[in-house]
Amino acid sequence: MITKSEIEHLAKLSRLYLTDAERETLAKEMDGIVDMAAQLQQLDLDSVELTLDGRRNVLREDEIIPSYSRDEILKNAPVREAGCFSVPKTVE
Amino acid sequence: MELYRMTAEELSALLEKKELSAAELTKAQFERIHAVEPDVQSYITLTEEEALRRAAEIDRRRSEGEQLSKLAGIPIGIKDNLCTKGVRTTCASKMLGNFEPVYSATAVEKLEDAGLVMTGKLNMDEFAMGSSTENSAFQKTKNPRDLTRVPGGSSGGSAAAVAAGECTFALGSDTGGSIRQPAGFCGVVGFKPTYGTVSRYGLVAFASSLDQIGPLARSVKDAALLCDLITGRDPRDTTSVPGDGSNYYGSLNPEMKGKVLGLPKEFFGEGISDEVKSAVLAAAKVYEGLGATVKEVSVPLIDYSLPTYYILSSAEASSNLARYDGVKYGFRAAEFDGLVDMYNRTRSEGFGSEVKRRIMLGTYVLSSGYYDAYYKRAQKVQRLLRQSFDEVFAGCDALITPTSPTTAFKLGEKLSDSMQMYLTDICTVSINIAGLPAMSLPCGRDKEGLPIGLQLIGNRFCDQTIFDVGAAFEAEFGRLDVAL
Repeated sequence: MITKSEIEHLAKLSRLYLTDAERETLAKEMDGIVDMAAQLQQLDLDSVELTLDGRRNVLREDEIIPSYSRDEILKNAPVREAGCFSVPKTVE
Repeated sequence: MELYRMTAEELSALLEKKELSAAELTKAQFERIHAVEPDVQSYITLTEEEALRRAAEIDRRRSEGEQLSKLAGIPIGIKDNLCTKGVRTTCASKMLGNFEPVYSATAVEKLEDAGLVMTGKLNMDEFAMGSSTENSAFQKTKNPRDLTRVPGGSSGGSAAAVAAGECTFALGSDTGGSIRQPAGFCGVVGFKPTYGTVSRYGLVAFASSLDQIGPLARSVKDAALLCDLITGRDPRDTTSVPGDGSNYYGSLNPEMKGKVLGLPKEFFGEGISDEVKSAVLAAAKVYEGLGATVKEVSVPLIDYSLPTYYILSSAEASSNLARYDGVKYGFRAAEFDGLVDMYNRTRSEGFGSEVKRRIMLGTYVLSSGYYDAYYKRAQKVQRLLRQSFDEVFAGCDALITPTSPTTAFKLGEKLSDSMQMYLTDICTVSINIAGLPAMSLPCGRDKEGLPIGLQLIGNRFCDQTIFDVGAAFEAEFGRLDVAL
């Protein structure tokens, strides 16, 4: 059972506000999904190793290549000011 | 025949012989869109003016004797989670309602380079999370085969537009079946390439280790032609595999003698409708008639693929969607009190309920105390599932299964029951977990006339085999005509 306080905790981690109605439906729905996910407990997975399958990190040279202009990067910002992203005051 | 019923292959021949101009084709395409779009509602954004301008440019280049690509001048629709420079890209979310990318996805760029004409951006489930396209924040797309039914999802707009003749073909994306399931529901061909063969650069991320871009088309050959344009290594996507791309179309070989096709018994069990089962088994008979060997096989861990999929995809989604903070782009709540309140309000108002559910689930399986029990176990099952597919493919060229347990369901039918909705993906999610190529193509109709999808699954990097096997079936069974 996922409790309402667990839902509240997850919402906080997810940066979401939930209404009472949302909390209730989510608790119910997540119960169903978590029950389904719990099927994996039936499998004996102790001997399975999580190695990278022979795959490797892919790196590239650190080179200066053409990039986007400041105006382009800021174009979609909801609020911009003096050529910067604008955010609410974070330090009192 | 009306232009909107034709395949890209047929249109390309007319364009090359100059019996048809790109401008005429584009104009006819938009006439068709305006005629059926009020019913189907597959487009979020139409780009008519730009399309006509591009078509005129293609005609000019052709008249000057320039050697153009085979698909130059053909109308294409793009799923609205692929970035298109200067054209609104919403992911069907309020969060990106006004987002105008300053760059195009690599796949889109390649289409532009080849001279294709974009008709517009196609509807989808918000952030590609869903199986019916009903999770779009903007509109509900209808299935052109029956307007009271869903087109499937999440690439429902792409599948509906191709089936309704609103574009010649389209790009979609597939994280757990989002190209194949709607292709099956709408009676078109949908192909999900092997993970890594198409660059994901510019595809708005849902679950990065599972997402893959692919074509939806009215024929297997059209799907091959389109796929050939978008494959190839891209330095901007480090998961894209080395190589210059593919030539599936030019290499098509529909000879089935000597091919071994497997029927994995786990895909024919409980929950699969009888009509779907018999249509897929009839398709197996067609293959036997063509000289292929069909045998029953087993992929024992399939029953665990749905929970594995929802754990892995939601975990990645919760992380990928952390970027929507109301600062750099997208929606920001109008009123708030301080930074954290701004994040919370922006995300609560900007995301729809399915997206919130996945973020919450992903946060849950990654949170301390649950990580080992869920996320790590799911990764281990992923490992085992890949191995069991490897074992099956040691003795088979391809697998034949249904694409979905049923044909298209009614609008609203499963919207209030998320588990029922998730179960519609039971036949498709394992393919993404294992990174395999797979295609859905029409193999029949149920008693109500709704298309039934046949899924063909191949081994990693054996995408050519799937096009071959698909083309062989299509040559026997035929294609479904455009609806409406």
